[in-house]
Amino acid sequence: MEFNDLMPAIAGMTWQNLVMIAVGLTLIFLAVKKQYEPTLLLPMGFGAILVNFPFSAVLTQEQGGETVIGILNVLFDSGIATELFPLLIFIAIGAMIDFSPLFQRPSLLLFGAAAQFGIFITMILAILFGFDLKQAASIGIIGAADGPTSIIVANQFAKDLLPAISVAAYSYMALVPIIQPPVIRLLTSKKERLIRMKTDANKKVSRTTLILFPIIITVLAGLIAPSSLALIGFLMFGNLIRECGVLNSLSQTAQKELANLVTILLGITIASTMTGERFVQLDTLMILGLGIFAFVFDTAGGVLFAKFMNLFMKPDNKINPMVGACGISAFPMSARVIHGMGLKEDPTNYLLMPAISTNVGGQIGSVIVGGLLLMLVPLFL
Amino acid sequence: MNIENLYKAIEISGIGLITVFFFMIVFFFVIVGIDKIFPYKKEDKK
Repeated sequence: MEFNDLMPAIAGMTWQNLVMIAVGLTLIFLAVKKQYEPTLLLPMGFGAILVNFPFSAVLTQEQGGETVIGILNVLFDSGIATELFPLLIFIAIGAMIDFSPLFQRPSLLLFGAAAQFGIFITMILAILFGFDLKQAASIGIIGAADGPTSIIVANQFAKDLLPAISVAAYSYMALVPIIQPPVIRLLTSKKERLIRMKTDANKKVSRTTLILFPIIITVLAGLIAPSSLALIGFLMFGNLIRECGVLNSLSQTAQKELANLVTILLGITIASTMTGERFVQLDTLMILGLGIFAFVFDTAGGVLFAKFMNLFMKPDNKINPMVGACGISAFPMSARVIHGMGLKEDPTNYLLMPAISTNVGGQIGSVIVGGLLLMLVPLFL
Repeated sequence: MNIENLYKAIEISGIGLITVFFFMIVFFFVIVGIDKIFPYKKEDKK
């Protein structure tokens, strides 16, 4: 009997597998030690280790002429390929979001559009790097700072790039406190960062309004861009459960048990595609680089749009340009970062409420852009 | 690099950005509208 037969995993181990095991350990380190998106990076890191042993039983294998189905392939085919997991996560996110801050200053919703700029500029850049249109759109959507949307777009347009895109999307969301501040400081003056914003923090919103909002948004999205309905519809369904006032138990379940259960499965299932031969490629490095580019330009888009709007605003109604950066979907991390930056500049300037309002707009904006890309790209092929 | 894809990407970006702004403007009016029709105080009085 040869060594290969006795120890097939050791004999079949490649340097790519070892690199991916190291990547898995790094993700676990980032999750545990740095607390960067631990709910996703930890399952993904552990999954990356699991799938990088040759003949790993968690993946489908050919053994003695027979196909032995691996559990992670089962989960991938039923949860990711069908888009079930990301859409269930949207129900949970919808149940967690309180849209009432948007009613305090609705014009901040526009930043949810402006801060999607990086998605499109990155898509163009990805084409220049040699990716095709579908791949470029999937890479650009990393800038949405919205993991489930990134997974859905990549799953439909570029399955091969799904592992790199989802790792980039979730890792960079965790790095918002590191990525956004330098970009904001570069684009704003001290005077602009000190701007105080007027918001009606005490404004109350009626229950009828909060119930009607998700329904009307769903109807409008269905009429204007039906391809976005799976994304926006599930998000708004979760929100309706929260706001209707008669399904408190379901709302709590969506926010906690559903979110936790699907998150556990989502992370480890994505990792099923993080095998050495698929992941250790030049394309992966390019995707990780382009992902940062998307985040930077999203932030810049929001900040510059705020500066543009200020040209038309009365002096006492100006927008602090830092708040524009919250138009990305990383909720509520981006709002917290901007609030912290505002306090650093002036300890009496509280930007939390306008930042939260903008960040909620970013949630809606990223989902809309995801739906638009799903609709537009096939029309141009 | 495929130049045809580049033009398509630029076109998609233009349409995409305009459409997402359009969506947000519509949503803005929805928020302002329903907040006016169903204000908090009125509901309280009921």
